[in-house]
Amino acid sequence: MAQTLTNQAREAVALANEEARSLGHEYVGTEHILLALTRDSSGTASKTLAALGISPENVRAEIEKLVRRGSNPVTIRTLPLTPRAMRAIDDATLEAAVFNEKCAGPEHLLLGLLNEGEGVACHVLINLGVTPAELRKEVFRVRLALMKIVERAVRPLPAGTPTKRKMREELLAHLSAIYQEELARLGDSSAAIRSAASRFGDPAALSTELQASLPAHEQLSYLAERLFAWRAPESIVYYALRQSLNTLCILITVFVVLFAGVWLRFGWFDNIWTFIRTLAAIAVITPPAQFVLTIATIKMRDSLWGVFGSRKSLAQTIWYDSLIALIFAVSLMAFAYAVRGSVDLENEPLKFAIIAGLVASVLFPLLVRLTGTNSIRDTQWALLDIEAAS
Amino acid sequence: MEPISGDKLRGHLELLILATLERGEAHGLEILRRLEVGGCGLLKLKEGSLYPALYRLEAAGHVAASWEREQHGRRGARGRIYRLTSKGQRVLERGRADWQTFVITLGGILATPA
Repeated sequence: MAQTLTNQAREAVALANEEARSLGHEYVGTEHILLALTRDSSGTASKTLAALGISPENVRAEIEKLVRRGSNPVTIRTLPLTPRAMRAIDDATLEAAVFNEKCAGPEHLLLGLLNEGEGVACHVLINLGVTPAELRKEVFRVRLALMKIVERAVRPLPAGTPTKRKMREELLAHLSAIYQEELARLGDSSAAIRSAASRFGDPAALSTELQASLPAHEQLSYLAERLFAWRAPESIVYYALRQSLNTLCILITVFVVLFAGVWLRFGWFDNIWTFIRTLAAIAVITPPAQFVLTIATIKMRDSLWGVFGSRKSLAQTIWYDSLIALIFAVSLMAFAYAVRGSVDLENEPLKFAIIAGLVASVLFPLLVRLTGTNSIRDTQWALLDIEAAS
Repeated sequence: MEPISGDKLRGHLELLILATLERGEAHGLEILRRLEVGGCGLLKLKEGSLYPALYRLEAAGHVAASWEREQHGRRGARGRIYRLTSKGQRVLERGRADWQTFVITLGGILATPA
């Protein structure tokens, strides 16, 4: 755990331990971490909380209302974390990972607490008149403002997503660093954003300069992505539909050429009907299977990380995984049926279909786990509303 | 003295970046800092403009970049570290020689009032 937290976040957890002891509690719960974050010395979490009127004093008072103060002095030095507090810390690293930050800071810890809706910390906040959603928005306010400045320069570029991702991350790292400098100098976050933006330069002018620095092959990646990748802000269903139509067109074109080639070479040979049936089966079965697979894969990603309106849920993730396995097995069986004209359930195809389904149910989650944080980040950038005033 | 702004720097920025990297690898913010110190604060550059120049240098193979290693307790998004390649070193030396010739030639004409 300790390796995945920044120094400030580790300080906050240590402070939570002290707060719990001073309240006479023999455990560190989400409420103690919240209390520690209101006093976080780096200011990243405490300033956000203070902006919504949450102070160490009123959090402590609220905790004492909800949880009775222990009567005996606590003798244990390092108190155990409650399961919720542990999950909140784990979630903090996940929140950080989504933004390509390997270590979770106090602000990620705060987001982690907000994910534990039933935790005492959330009850304290609600009793103080702040909903978790409001607090989440406040945590992201500065970050979003800086991201929008970067996105105005990067989005218009005719370049592939990996190149844009590199630029977005690097430019955001720079802009965040100068924001921190300006914040230390000016003390006010809105003034610091304005000042950092002016040091950074006009996004439109930067965009023109960046475009001139792009090599020619970026144009090709851009066009390929326009055809085959998700286009913000289209819906998942529309995207999946577009994908399967693309596949259908490609398959038909390839098969017509293939068939013409075979026919010209061999003429009307004996097994030509089997050949035609095989090609037709592939063309009919693949697009609908791909439609469901595309949706299931994206929904699996969303429920694995709990993003884009999906609740974070292992059960949901497993459900989508089973759906993927099922689609693979059913498509293969359908294919076997189409080619042979009949299907014997005790025969080879069934075994093969089950194995393929099982392999898919392992490979897909693995793929989603590997590509998830990048694709979530790309999507978050692409969905930013850069027209609205920041 | 008037500060030297973006327009006048155009065309020279890449060579200046190579020169700052001769002192060792650095990320964007550090390159700007070295430019500012080296130019006695007279170089006025919009900080974002550094990156198109860096990307051009990277595409040409004059600099190489790698993502910043994660450090304990570091916060914020990751930046990239740039370093001079041997090709970049040669370009810098040639650029320097060209610049010397330019300054000596024009200096000879401009420096002496009639």
